[in-house]
Amino acid sequence: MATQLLMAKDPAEAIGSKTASAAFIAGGTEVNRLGSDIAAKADTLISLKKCSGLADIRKEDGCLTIGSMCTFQQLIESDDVPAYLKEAAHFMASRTKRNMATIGGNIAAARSDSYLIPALHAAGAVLNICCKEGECASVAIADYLDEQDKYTDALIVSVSVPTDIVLVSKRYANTAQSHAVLTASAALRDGGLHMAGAVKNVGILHFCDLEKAFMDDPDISEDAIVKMVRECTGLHTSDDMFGSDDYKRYLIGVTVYDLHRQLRGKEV
Amino acid sequence: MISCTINGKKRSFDIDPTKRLREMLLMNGNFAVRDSDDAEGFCGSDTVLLDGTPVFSNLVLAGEAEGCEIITPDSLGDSMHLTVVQQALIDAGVVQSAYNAPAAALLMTWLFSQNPDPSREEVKDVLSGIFIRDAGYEHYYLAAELIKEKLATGEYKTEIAPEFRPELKAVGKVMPKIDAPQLVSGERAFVEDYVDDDTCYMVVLRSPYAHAYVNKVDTSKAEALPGVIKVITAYNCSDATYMSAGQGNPEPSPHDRKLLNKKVRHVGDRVAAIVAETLEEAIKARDLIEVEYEPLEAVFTVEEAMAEGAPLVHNGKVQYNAGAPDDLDEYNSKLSGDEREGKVVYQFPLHGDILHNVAAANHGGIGDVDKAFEEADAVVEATYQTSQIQHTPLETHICFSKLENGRLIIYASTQVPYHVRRIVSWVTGLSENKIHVIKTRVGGGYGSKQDILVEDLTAYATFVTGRPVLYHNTREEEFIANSTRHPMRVHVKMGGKKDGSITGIYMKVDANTGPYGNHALTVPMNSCSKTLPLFKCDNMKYDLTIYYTNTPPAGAYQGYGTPKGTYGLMMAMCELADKLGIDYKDMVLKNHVEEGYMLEILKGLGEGREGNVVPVGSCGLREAVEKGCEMIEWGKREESGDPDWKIGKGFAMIMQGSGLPGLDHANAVAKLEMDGSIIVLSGAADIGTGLDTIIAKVTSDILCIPVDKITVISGDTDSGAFDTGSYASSGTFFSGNAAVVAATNLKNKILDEAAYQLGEELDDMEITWPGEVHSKKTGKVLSFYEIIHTSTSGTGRGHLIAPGSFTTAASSVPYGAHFAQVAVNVKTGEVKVQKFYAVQDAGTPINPEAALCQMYGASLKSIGHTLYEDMILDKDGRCVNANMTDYGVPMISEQPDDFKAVLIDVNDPDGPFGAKSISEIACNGAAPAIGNAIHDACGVWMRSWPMTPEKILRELGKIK
Repeated sequence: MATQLLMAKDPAEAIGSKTASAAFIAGGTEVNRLGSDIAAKADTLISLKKCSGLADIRKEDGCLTIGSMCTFQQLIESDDVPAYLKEAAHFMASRTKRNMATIGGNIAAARSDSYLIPALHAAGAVLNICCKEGECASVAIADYLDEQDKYTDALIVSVSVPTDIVLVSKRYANTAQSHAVLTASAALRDGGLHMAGAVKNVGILHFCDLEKAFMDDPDISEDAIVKMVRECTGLHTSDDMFGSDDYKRYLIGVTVYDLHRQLRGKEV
Repeated sequence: MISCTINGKKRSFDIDPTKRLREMLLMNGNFAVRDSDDAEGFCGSDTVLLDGTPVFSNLVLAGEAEGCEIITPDSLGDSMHLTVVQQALIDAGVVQSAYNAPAAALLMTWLFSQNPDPSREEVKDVLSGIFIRDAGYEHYYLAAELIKEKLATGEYKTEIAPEFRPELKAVGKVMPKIDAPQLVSGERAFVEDYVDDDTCYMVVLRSPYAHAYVNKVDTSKAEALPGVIKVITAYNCSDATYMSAGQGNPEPSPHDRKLLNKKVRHVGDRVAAIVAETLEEAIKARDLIEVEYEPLEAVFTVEEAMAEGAPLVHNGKVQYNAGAPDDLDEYNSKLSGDEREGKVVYQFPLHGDILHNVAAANHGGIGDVDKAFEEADAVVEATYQTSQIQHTPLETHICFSKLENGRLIIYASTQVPYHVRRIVSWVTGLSENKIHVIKTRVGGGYGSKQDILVEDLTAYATFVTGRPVLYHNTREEEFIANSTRHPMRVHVKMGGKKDGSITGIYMKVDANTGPYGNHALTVPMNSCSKTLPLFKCDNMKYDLTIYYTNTPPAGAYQGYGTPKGTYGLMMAMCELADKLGIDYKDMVLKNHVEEGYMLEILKGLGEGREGNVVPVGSCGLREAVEKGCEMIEWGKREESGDPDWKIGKGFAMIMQGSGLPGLDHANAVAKLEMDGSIIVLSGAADIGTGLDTIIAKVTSDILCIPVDKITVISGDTDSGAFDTGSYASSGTFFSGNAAVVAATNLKNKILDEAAYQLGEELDDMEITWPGEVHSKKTGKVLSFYEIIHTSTSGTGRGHLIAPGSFTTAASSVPYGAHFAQVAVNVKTGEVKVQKFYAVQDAGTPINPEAALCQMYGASLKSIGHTLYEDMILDKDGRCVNANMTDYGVPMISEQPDDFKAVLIDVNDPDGPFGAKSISEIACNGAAPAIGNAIHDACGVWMRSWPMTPEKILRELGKIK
């Protein structure tokens, strides 16, 4: 249980103070939330709320750089943030929570019911990260998620996202406020199709086999896609309170099919 | 030190910066910043403005508030100086149980500070972070309109609600609920607001096992901790066997539990209670208690409970206080009789059979159903399963008790103060005159506060320690250790003729009461007694069996068993209409009861005794059905324009009761005060629904005196006279009628005194507005002030005080019909409730705006039960979704786009000024209305609630 709070003035102080037993706290909607493992394990919390320079939104060269402490509500209210990211921010149904939760916090939490990660993943977002050693790097969000252990002491400073892509998303949850069983996004960018999803209790998934199937045969049937997902051995879904294994696989199949259909419609 | 500005004033606090901001605000006295979810960031009770932005203060650390400006809900306006926003919320009727009302007022104030003309979407957005269970959200939109109008023109233009009975000044009129200013402004109102500074805290160690003997509890390490005052276990506490249902005495529930048992019967059952100087010390001590459990095999479903050789949830001796069977000794010889089991004591026979896990049963009917099915042109038969759901009141269960002047004083958030007193008396052995129960405002009850779930243990802790003790359930404890709605399996067989007439109905109801039998009979009984009397049918039969299991306990829940019985019956009727090839509406209209129809079916449906066979009284059922069908354009097929989304319509007729004739009892005392004002001492328990206002209004119209000259003091066992409490929709009918009797008696005394003082005949006296007696003969007038002044002058005849007692055999049944239009995505199974219309005969709605809000609130709640809410247990009986986010309550996002509540004007001959009950019945219609609409949309019958997308896909054959 944390016994100390450090209000970092700037990213350098935040990173410099980060130890193995310390945790960053951004908006607080996860770390301070009931039952948070992070708060239970850390002895020091490093609040980023008053960290200078982390809440700006800058537009440059067809790319938007969003400070990691930008709240979901700031994303929605910004004129510069692309519609696909606003839609993902709206998946968090509570306005009060959106006033608090941040883009950086949502990425770092990397929850399997993440609101933003599927869209950011499909969009090919790049995270601008600073490490304790003073090094800063730009890391594709897919790589960050694959190797998150590498970045436990690093601070996400900002997120760069493309603004000129077509991206569609879909979220399924019991109620709007419930954790999602599935959030999926699909984008057309860089001449290709990119699909990602957050599957509850499974994780963040890059649907590369499905991308390939659609690229190989844009007219592939829905049944074929559902069959593919149902038979996919690399997908580790199981029965739990969010639904049966078959339900989740079926839902992934029909959803990615539908997202692809929507993309093709937008392409036309 | 943390320095910040709170409500415009600079403040500094010596507080651990890792504590929550809310804790700091409590130190500052901002107690209206409340906690409903243990920092889950869900309910919004902890909302404040931080540097001008709404946030959950439980998700902000105290240290993060350094240098910030904080605005709390109690800063807006006090009860004497309400703001436009606060007043509009009151006027719209949304300030009901109101635990979140101050937070909602803050959010609405913030919204209007950003935009004086917010859209409906903006109102929806700002309220998206706040959970409202009692009144729903619809009248918040109305409140927003009222605010706009008031700010722009200085007055309201929009009609708030229809008004009734033009000949009366208060009853049936839109008028602020009398406790609303206190509630919306965040003044002291709830139990937690009355806790003394020297209070100890109590926490409970709960069982990790669903079924186990507790062979040893080692409390030595816990008791050695500094600050620990007492650890109470089954081995050092009261041996009284009782039950937690707050209902008439003797109860139609088995007495089958003790304060702490030597056998735990569900995950979350009480094992030990720890009293310490601080909450932290109590929690720390709890972790040090070592328990030796002897795990037993458990049963979780009625199917498991009824299986041959099933583990027995209760295996001790059975006793009867009346009506013991002749073979009781032989029966008891088959039970283990293990001392750790305790015993099961029936007050009178309930057809229980604990050797087969049966807590209670009832069987009966009229006519010959077998013959009726033979004569039918079509018969349908199906089983409908309902889930275990939780009330989720915003204010979790809480109790504060202390000793004062040799008496036990209990501050309780309860629907049944007199039953709390009785049960605490049993547990402590104190006589009832030594116990004073003070019902504070109640932050949501919905039946869960009809059970005595925390008061027994808290009061006992004070009794044995002599210390003031506070106990407050966590949200998780609300799920695992409270009462819940009984899961039920409702099997219906129904036969009908081609002309649409129903020949026979059979219901087999198997209910799961969990480990204890509180309300075991009465709740499931309502699945038949508040449904079968809807039908004009000569052949009806029911078999009702209630099983003990090791799930979290079940108990009273708004609607009792009626929503489940209605679900089964109305779904079956729709299936039968479909099978017969006739329109469901025509079939409903052909078979529903009408005024004067003799309800023979009620004979066997009393609560543990013979029921009253009575004719149908005032009945607006047909009008409700026809009105709703017109509104929803019944028979018109709607198209979505998207092949995946199919649209369908459905409805259900509904009924409830207005208390329990022959069982319930209410009292009031009306006093004429020295300045001519009135105080009514009522035994009633207003749980936020406006019962005190009803009492004030009926008194006002009887005594011709303005409502603001009447004060109602209720829910206090010292100052009022006995009232069975607020449950079974009894408040308006019983407590309201008791006030009518008391006010009428006082009126007669005032007239008599006036005649005496004027030296005239009583027959020449009449009460006139505002609080005067007028002589029809001489034209002389005496004000109430003049009358009481003279009568209490020392030479007069004394204080004018009148009691009123109400019991009845009459039954004023509310009727109605609920309608739904849904869109179903046949590819994903998603369901959207596009339209929901609640059309109800509530007699005379005494508080019409509050009545509408209760219809919205109960309807939205039952939409939640139908589509989302479900307590999910793992294989060991642990509830895996014991939090608000995962459990799935409906909030503003789930509210139907087109949501209407309509009151059918019926003047009931027995209700106070023609009133019947309103709120509870509104829980009954959603499941069958939505279920039938889903069938209309996509052709599948949903025979299990919640009707989730996954279940719909399964019915559609899309998934395994």
